[in-house]
This record gives sequence, C-alpha cells and structure tokens, in this order.
Amino acid sequence: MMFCLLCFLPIAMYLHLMAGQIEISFDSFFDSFWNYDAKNTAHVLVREFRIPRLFMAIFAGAGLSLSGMLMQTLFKNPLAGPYVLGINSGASLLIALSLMTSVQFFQSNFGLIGTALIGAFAAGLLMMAVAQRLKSQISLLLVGLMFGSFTSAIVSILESFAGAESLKSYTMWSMGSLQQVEFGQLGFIFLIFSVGIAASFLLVKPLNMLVIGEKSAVLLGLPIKSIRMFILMLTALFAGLITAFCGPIAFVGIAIPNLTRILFQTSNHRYLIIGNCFIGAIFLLLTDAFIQVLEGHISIPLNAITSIIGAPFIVFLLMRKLR
Amino acid sequence: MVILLVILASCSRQAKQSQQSESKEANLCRYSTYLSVFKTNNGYLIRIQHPDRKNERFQLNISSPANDLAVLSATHIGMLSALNEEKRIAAITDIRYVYSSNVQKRFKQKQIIELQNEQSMSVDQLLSSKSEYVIYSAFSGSFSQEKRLKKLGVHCIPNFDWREQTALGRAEWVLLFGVLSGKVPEAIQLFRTIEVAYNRSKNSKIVSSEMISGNVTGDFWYAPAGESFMAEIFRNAGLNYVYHQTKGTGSVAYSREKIMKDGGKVKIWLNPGFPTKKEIIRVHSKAKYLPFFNNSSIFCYTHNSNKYWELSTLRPDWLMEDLVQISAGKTTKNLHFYQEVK
Repeated sequence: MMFCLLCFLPIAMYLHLMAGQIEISFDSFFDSFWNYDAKNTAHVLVREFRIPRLFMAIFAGAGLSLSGMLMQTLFKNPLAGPYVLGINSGASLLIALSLMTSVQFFQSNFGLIGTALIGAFAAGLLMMAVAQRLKSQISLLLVGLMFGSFTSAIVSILESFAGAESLKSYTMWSMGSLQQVEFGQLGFIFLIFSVGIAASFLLVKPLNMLVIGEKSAVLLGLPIKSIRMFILMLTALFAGLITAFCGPIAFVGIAIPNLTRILFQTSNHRYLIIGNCFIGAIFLLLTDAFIQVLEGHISIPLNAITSIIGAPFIVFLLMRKLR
Repeated sequence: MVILLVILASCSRQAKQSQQSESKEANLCRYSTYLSVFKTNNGYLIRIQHPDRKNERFQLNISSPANDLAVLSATHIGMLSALNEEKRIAAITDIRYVYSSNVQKRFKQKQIIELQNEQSMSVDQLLSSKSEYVIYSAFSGSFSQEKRLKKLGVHCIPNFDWREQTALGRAEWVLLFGVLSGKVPEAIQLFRTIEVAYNRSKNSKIVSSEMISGNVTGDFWYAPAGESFMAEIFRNAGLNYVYHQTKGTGSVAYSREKIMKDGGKVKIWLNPGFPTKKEIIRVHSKAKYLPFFNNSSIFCYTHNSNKYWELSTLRPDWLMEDLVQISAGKTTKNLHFYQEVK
C-alpha cells in the first residue's frame, strides 16, 4: 500500500501541475525557477499561481487528515474532525471582528491571513485551557461544538450590521481557496508543517495506547493530561495554519482518516500518520486538479467537491457502524 | 355536460374580450420587457410580467397617488428622489445604503422606518409605517410576506428592473413610480430626457483599448456576460470589452489563469469592487500579478457605492457619459459614478 501511495503522489502532483487552462512548456516551467522574469506570463503563472497551489493542496490535504486522525483517536470517535476544536470558528470570528467592526483592538496590520492565524491559535489556546479543567473527552467535544455555535451566532449578528464592503471581504475569505498562498509564504508553511509532522511521530506510542481506551492507557502509565494537551496543540497548529491560508475546507479531516484506516487495516499510528499524509495530499491534489479541468466549463468551489465526495462517505461509514 | 361546455366556452370568450379592450390603450413603456403601463378612464393600469414564470402576471389599477410607500431597494429610492417624491417613502430596508440626503433627513426625523432585509422584515413594523404599497425586488425569486400582507390590505408590487436586458428598459421603471406618486407626465418627461441623453452619448464604434471588468470572488473571476445589460453599456460606450463575445445575460466565471491569459493587452480595468489598490490586494493578494494591475487605468464606483446603486439604474445616461470618458481616455475628474482607483 505504502509503495502504491509513493508512486501515486508524483503522478497526482504532475496531473495537478498540468491541469491548468494554459499550456506551459517544460522550458518555461524550469525557467520560472532559475531565470524568473516577472513580465513573462508563463513564469508568473507557474511561480505565483501553480506551485503555491500545488504545495498548498499537499499541505492542506495532509495537515487536515492528520489533525482529523489525532482528534478521532483522542475522542475515540470516527466522526470527530479538526474543526471540533473550534479552530475554524476562532479564525472566522477574528476575521469578522476585524472586518465588520470598527473596534480599534481588532484592527490588525497582519492582513487577513495573519488575523485568521491569530484567531485560530487563540481558539486553540482557549480550548486547551478548557481541556485542563475537564475530565471527560465528550465534555471537551461538546465545548468545542458549543464554541462553534456561539461564534457563528456572533458572526451572523456582525453580518447583519456590516457594511456592504466589509461583508463582501468577509464572504470572499470564508469561501475558502487554495489559491491565496504566495510563493514566498511556502517556506514558512513548510517549516511549521515539518515541525508538526515530526511532533506527530513523537506521539505514535501514546496514540497507539489510546486506541485500547483511556483508562487502560492510564494504567499502562500514560500521562493522559499532558498527552491530551500535546494532541490538541498539534491539531490547533495544523488546522489553524490551513484555515488561515485557505479558509475552511470541509470533510477532508473526517473522511480521509477513516479511509486510511480502512485501506491500511491497522491501528498502528506509525503507518496511519504516513498514510493520512499521503492519502490526504493525493485526495486534495486530484480534487483540485479536477476543478481546474472543469474551470473552462463550470466553476465549482473546492468546498463543494470535497463535501460531495466526503458527505456520502461519512454516511456510508455511519451505516456500516449501525449495521 | 353540454351546459358545462357552453358555460366554459362563453367564459373564455369573455376573458379574450376583456384582454382586447385593455390592449386598445397604448402601453406607455417602449423599452421595458416586464413592465407595461396603460392609461385607463380612472387612472393607470400596471401590468408586470414575471421574468421566469410566463404564466405569472401581476396587474393593478391605480386611480390615486399613494401617500405612504415601503420601498425595499435602493433603485426605488433613486426613482422617487428623481421625481422629488421622497415624502411618500415611509419604510426602507437599510439607511446605511441610502444616498438621498432627503431620505436620510426624513429618517433622522423618524418619518421613515427601517425594515432590514426584504426576506426577513417584520410585518408588524411594516404595518406601523402605514404603507399602502410595498415595492419589492424579489432577488431570491419571490417575496415571502406577499400573501400575508395581501390579507392585511397592503398591495405588494414586484419590481423587476434588475432583470431587464437593456439600460433604457431598466430606467423606464420610473414610470411605475410616476403612477404611484401621481406624476406620470413628469416621469415620462424625465425618461425622455434620459433616453435622448443616453442615445446622444453612445459611441457608434469601439474606440478604447482592451477593457476587463470584475474581480476574483473565491476561486473565480466573475465578469458580465457578453449579452448582459452591462456588456451592452460597455459596447455602447465604445469600450473594447474582452468578453463581449461570450454567451449569456448574467455573468461568466473564469479561472485566474484564464484572466492572466486574456488580460495581457488590457489597458482599462473596471469594477474591481474596491476603491483603492491597497484594498484590492488586502482581499485578493495575487491581484498584483495580474498583467493589468500596474499597467492599466482602474476605475470603480465604490468611492460612493450608495450613489451608484441608487441612481445608476435610472440614469444610464450618466453611466454612459462616465464610460465614454473612460474609453476615450479623457480627463476623468468630473465623473458621475466612477473614480480612478489608485
């Protein structure tokens, strides 16, 4: 399985790169790196549009799947996802406050991405603070869901009072896109992403212990509180980073970890981490390539395609569980 | 059974006869597809055709001017303002989107109330405004409160000016407000003035270099389709609109890559949706890579969006004057709606 994924990732990357509406020669492709000319449309297209979009599809697919896997193992619930922590809600709330109110405190100079990043991490920190006071995982899950409902209510109120321009800016951000990331930002994203992946491997043993149940894991000497904090921190890191740069992307974080578990037939997180990274990246690359192929005929937002594929898959999982 | 058939046949004949008698009067509207206004013995007959449902036709006989009106769109305010009939406005949706200083003043004096959204407005509030007529736009297909308000004796009139395919067809809806305010001759006169000015300022041929319109929303660039009302204005203003040959009366959605490819020779960018380049980049950071971001003249109406939305439907002649000036690359300091984006 691992070998198949290793072969398939470069194929998916190639398909994604070539799926654009404009044909670009290999020469132009390589020149855009080594002899970049800002006035050459082909160079600008490759360097500023296709490459960031390609890597963002990889980072977002892998990151969301990984954080979904972490949440599902922590909550022992196959329907938990990265957004149960309210990361998306935190980012949306801060963006809404900065765009749709004139309160000086919320007016940041970091741009939309910076503001979303701060909002996402603030929500993550808040949830971690709450997690320290709660014993039950279910309570934490509920707090996350309540936080999401609370923030979306505030955003709705802000929307009803917002001016046309600010409402437009907010709506544009909330539609989500893999195309907002700039070439220069990829290094920063790669760094954070690599740290996250490395940290995930440090969690392999505790995650494997959590599979047998929290009580048994504690009896085996697992420091549950600190592990829980570590998992939450990692999830906040991945989901926060991706939400800030791409906006909300639905269902990847719930569907891919389940698909990985089905395909790998294991609960060993060493393989699940690698599998989630590969399958998540390949899934988002192919989905986005499909959107690019359709772009000449019909415009479909990324979120719509991920939901169309993800929602029936989750229903299938539920049916399988209920049987 | 035979008696029933005879009754049915006579009924259908009667209906035909009544239609024939109505159509004897000349329709006062010449450009509008959906609005017809007929003079009758005791007033005016308004007939409004639903743009999508061919069997749905609104009809109302108005014999005297209305004292209080609830107007649910900015263009309605603009048309009543142009007839100096703001005093008849009793309710609007949102004061923040109003340009008319008279309406703002009357709102401050609590002579006008706010109803908020067309779909979620409060019927109680509307009734408190004592409006006799509600003019709605039905942007979402229908007006949810219509049946309830009808039972309460309030007439609801749909306004489909935004669905018209020609600029003058849109402006002609001022006749509806002429009927409602008892100023039909004035409305006809105003429309004639607009018509003459619009036709006079039209360009017979394309004079500008390539022009693009719109901006990115989500992952796509939305621009007026080639057969839309906006594309018609661009053509008449002499603007060489990049997508003038596309099909459709709404908008087209293209990928950023296509815009990069098609925008290579663009020298005029209209309607980016923001009043400054800084704001464009704030929302759409990659706009700076568009070939026409730095090398073209950018114009938008967002310096005063309220004025644009309130008056541009009624005054296509002003819109045309602005665009003609932009297309000719003349001095663009005294434009009605547009301003250069810097």
